Amino acid sequence: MLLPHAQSPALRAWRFSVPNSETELLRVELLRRYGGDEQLLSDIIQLFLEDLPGMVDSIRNTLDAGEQEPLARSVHSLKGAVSNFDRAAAREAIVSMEQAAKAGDFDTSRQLFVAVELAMHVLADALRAALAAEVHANTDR
Amino acid sequence: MRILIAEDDRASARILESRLERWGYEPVIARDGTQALYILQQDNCPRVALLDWMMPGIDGPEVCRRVRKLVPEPYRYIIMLTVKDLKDDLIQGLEAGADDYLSKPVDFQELQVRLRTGVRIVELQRQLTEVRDQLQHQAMHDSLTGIWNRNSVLDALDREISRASREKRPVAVAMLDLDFFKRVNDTHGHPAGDVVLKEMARRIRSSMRDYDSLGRYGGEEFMIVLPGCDEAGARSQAERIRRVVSAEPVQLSDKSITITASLGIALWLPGMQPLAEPIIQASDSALYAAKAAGRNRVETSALPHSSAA
Repeated sequence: MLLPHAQSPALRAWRFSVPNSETELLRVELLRRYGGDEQLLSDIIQLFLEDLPGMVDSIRNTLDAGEQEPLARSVHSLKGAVSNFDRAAAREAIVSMEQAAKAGDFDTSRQLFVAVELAMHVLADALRAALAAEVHANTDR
Repeated sequence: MRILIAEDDRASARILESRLERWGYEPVIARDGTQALYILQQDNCPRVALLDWMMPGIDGPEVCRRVRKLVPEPYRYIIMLTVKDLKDDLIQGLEAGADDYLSKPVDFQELQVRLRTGVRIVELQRQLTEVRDQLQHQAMHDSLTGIWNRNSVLDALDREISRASREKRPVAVAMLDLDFFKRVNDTHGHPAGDVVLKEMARRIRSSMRDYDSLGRYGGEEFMIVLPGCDEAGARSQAERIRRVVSAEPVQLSDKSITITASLGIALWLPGMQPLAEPIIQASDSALYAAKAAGRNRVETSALPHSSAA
């Protein structure tokens, strides 16, 4: 994955790192969202991390093939998966790309895909960190 | 209560599964629309379903449409889940037959309340269906013996004559009357008479083929419809029924009594007008002849040629 050219305001908006304090914040937020169920949180993060590469590949493949409907569907699926983690930045990138995909605008879709990929890396890193923090927290008890 | 979760995203499915288990439901998971449709078409399927809008294969609205078309009963309460949030999407989902609609990410409090509504509606529908079925059963069956009542057995005869007419096959009707039944009531009382009627209905039914029809035609009179029977076949069936009626005494509270029956047979044959009435009259005449000839016997009507087409 390469850093994108900062061609649009949307692309410039992404943040590229997750401070340790944010990791803890994310974990607390997600735990609150899932009723304090650490096992559930661990399960869904792991499932998401396992499925994420496939979802991103699916978007890339449909984008390369120039298939509008499948592209919009793939982006939509990713949006649904990401919505479980309530990360506005990640979601916004996908929403923008979905709009472009639905409109059949492949050029914009390609540009926004770079942002989506990046946002997914950031999200995946954050979730991995939250998962590790969770394991750590459990081990400390 | 079992609830179907149709969701292709594994993490989302896991979240819903966990929530539902926590609330005391039994989640059943489908990974795509085809699987969801298959499950929802089964007789013992979950009555409440959470359907993701976008799924591989068949999408949520299409699953909904097909369920509504293919399996109207018992009612499946369907909640559509989607990240689509436009009004048009909502309308499309509800028009496909969804009962409710929830935006993703799902607000769990809202989901819990809406599931309760769904469960309540499904339960209400189950009770209504049960009452309707009971009423339908009561309208078609004789309350004492549990066999069909007069109207139902006459309907069965009409149907069999229509079918026989199409397939050019005979139909036989046997009219059965219990001999000296009035004496049973007079001597042993009406409750004893009821015991006898119930036992006779049970014996007659036990000696019939699966596709024959039996109804209580009047007080102690029964009609038996025998599809596909020619004269010899009908006579043999009627004799078997006559024998089973008197085979063993009927046990009453204080004593046992032997009952006999007279039967009159009439035939509908291909080429005759597809009408039940002449056959009923002919079987009644044959029954009268059986009574006149000493009872506990089977008589066959002369073929009602006058009604031939």
